[in-house]
Amino acid sequence: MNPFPVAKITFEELLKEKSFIGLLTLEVFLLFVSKLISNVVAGDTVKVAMDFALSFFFFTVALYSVFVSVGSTFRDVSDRVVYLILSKPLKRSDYVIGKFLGCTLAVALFTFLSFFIVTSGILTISSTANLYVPHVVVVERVFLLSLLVFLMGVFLSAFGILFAILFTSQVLALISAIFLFLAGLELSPVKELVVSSKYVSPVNKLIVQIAYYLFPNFSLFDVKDYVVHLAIKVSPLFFASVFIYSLIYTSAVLLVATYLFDRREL
Amino acid sequence: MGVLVVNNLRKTFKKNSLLGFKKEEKKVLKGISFEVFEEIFGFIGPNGAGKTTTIKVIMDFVKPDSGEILIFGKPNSDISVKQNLGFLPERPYIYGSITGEEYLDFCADVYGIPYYERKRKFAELLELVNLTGVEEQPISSYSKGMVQRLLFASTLINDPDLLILDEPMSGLDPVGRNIIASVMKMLKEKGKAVFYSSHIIQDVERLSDRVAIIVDGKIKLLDSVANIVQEFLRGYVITVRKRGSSSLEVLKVGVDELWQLLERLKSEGYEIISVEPDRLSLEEILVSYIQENRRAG
Repeated sequence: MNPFPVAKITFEELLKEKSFIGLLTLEVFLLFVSKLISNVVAGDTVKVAMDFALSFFFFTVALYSVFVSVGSTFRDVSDRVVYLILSKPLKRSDYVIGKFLGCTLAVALFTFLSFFIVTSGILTISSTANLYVPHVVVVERVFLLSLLVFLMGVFLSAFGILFAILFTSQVLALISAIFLFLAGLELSPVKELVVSSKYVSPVNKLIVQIAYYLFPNFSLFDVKDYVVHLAIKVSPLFFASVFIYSLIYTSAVLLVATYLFDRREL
Repeated sequence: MGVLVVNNLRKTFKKNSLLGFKKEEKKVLKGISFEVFEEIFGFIGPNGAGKTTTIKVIMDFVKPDSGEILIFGKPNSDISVKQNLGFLPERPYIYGSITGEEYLDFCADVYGIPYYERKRKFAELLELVNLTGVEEQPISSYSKGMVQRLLFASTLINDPDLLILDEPMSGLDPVGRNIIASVMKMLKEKGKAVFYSSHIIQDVERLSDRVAIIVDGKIKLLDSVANIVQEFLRGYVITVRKRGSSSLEVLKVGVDELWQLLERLKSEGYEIISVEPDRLSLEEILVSYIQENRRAG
């Protein structure tokens, strides 16, 4: 198995894509927007600004992961780049895994740079406010959030590659991945609502519970509250379990993607 | 045994009808067989005849319904055969954002070419296709012909024994076509096999040792260019001049009557200026097969 050449060229290609710099620039712009919003909203301005900045960070990384994975894989097939790659002594699984690793590297760099942008922004916002914010704790918590956001990006990249292989339309693949992400974010509240309701039948509750465990749960990666509200504590076990969850789920998605790509006529 | 053996290849594409109820079937390959040795083998046919599908099946991008493909004596699905094979698809494309050198680096990574050998190897390949000095520029700044030449050069990075090229000349200017043609000839002289499809018949006629004509998924003719030319010889065109006269006369004669006529002309005091074969060109032969197929179908 030799997925590294594909990973390397994918990473090189993605770094030079306009979307990389474009979305990072958008993040800087959204930091200013967060500050402006915090000025007009009642409450703790630093917390409100942080909340918006982290939400923008979370969604920007998600969008970047979906766009690069779907776009890059889909383009390879539609523009026949895949012929050049698979004419070499590489298995189709090398291609899928290599593509995934290349996207993962790009998402890692994007998240890392985003972490710097967002942290710098938050520290600047908090230093201009009159409230005391423990900077070390905030940076540490934003870093932990960034790790989870990176895992989410990796998870989404696997789905992006799967959908790019599965669908013959790039728009359909993109929309499906974005819908999956949005649905996966709202999974926990829906499950809680259904399970606690007395108007829902036990069978329907069971179906929702099964769907909850089968469907990718993107809300697990959303720990913005932990960063914004310093009183909230999260056990290290939670981070470990999210890591294992995304590792197993991502592997399963990649396995399906490889299986489908192996059988696809190019 | 040939370097590439294609035996009774059949392929049907299934297409869903408008409502998806009934699948339409189109037989694209109807029992294709041929063998490629250490030679330049041209694969010609009209659009939709099955040239690209045959190549896709050979490259294992598409699975055939039935038939056998052997490359260096091994099934084409065996990944190890690609270690010694070069392939250029039709209208090739590669990421515009990377440089030519980065793409060659990718190829070198795949074949495990050591870093210390790469600079020399890249320089040799780029010189071969007249692209020296552009390797550090992004591919988006290359012309279409330059991209094609770069990707052609990249197929040679592993020094393959078999080169499979799908329409390597299309989209190239005469200089580019000449470069590709001279590299193909050079490879043949080195004992390599080149299998290529083309619709530029003059190039096929000029370059190939053997030619297969595919029409409607079937091989209609497979022979050496020399034999085909001989087979489709209609006669000769003789240019003569009467002794003492300044005007030329052109005569047409059948294959069997040539020597007889030459003797007679000589005895009648004619000076023979030239004798040229009057034959069908490969293009005319291809067109005749297409028309014959249309009449039959």
